[in-house]
Amino acid sequence: MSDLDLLKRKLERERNARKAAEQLLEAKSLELYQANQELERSLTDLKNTQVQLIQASKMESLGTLAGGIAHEINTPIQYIGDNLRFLSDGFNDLKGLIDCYEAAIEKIGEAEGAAAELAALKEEKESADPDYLFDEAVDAAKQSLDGISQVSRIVLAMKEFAHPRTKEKLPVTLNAIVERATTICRGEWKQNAELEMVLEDGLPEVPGSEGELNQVVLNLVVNASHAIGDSDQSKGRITVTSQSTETGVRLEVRDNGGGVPEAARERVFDAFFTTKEVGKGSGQGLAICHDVIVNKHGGTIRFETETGVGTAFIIDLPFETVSVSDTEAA
Amino acid sequence: MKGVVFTEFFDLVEESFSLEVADKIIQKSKLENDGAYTAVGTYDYCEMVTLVTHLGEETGLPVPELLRIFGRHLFTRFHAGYPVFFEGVETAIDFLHKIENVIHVEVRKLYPDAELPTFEYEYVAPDEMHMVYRSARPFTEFAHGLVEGCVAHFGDKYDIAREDLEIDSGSAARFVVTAKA
Repeated sequence: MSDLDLLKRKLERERNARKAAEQLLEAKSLELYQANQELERSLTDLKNTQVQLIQASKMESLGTLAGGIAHEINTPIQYIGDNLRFLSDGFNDLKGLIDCYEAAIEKIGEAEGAAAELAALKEEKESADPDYLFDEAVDAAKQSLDGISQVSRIVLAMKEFAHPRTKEKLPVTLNAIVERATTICRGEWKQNAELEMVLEDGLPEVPGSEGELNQVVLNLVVNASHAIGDSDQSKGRITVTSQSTETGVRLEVRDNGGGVPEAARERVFDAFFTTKEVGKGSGQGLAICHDVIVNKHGGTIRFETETGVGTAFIIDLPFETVSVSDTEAA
Repeated sequence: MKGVVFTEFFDLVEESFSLEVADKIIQKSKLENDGAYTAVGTYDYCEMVTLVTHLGEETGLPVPELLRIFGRHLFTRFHAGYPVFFEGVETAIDFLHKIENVIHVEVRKLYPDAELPTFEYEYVAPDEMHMVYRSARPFTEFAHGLVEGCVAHFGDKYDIAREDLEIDSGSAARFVVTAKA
């Protein structure tokens, strides 16, 4: 067989191989397209699930706090009720006294028997003790008004926590967020710790999503309380500090609990990672904090911990937010 | 068996022998695709057995020797085609260890249905490694050629001894790779 014939046959094989490769490529392209479609569907499902999980976590936070909040509301309501009952009884007595006064005055006007009526009036006045009644009524009213204000603050904080005015990033005052979140979760921390707030006066505003930052502060304070509760610490203390920095504002939530276990330190910001017992934590709290601060606010979150001494979570929020998710979308 | 093994085989036959020899063994083998192999396709390994057998008949060389030669050749092609697997690898033993733990893992990602041989490693001394090869196919000699190609690539600093193992089906062998004195 000549070289030319050999080359022709080789060429024919190469051509057939190319056709086979093209068919294979087409089949693989179709598989790839279908796999890509499947992947897109999975991604959409995953995003939906993530949204649901965040919402579920928020609901879990609210649910956990509900008992504490009920107690918080119940205490002022109880003394408001007592005070109002006192006022009601007292003013009934007062009304009786005034009725007597009116009857006496009427009879005094008729002159005869006035002395006896006046003595009876004096006795009635001593019995009713109107001076005491008036003094106490003022205090009771003031205390009731304080209680009502406290209830209003709790309800307002709950309302704003659950339904923040906007999800857009607007100038926010971190101190107000701290005060609101710590009010909401008072029932969580007050059993385990004293809360000290060292908030810088006139702290500059930073752009942020109020609702998301509410959640972050609440998660950190509740976590701090749990850390103290799980430790041997008898005098728990949570210190929340805010201060301005050259590039933004810093928030620190420090506790004197047992510290983050060494084995868990690498994973504290991982989703679904928790050292809490089953049913006590979803493992979403710090993952959400990380997502909100780093991805949505372009800030940083880190922690310092020492076994047996405590943990501090430190957040830095910049004056100018560049959202990572926005950058990725661009 | 992946088509790239067939296309490399024919490159070797054409370079080392001739186009005529390549054509003859294709004709004699009566292949389903008439020798039109594409690197990205997948083919029955029996076709390779037939081709090598006929190459032996044409050249007068023993089939085991041909398979060893092909194994050594394929290793050089592997180095040219996939340099990423050689990054940071300094010794033949290190590379051989990567076959099962890295390379086969990557191959399975691309070809989930690939039927790969397996390797088990045992380090009996700092400079001696035992590697047990198992395959559903009769390609111990071919694997031996690949190991030789690997050792040659990294400066020929190891001796290779082979002990064939008896198993119910397929083939198996223990390669003893020892640093040269």
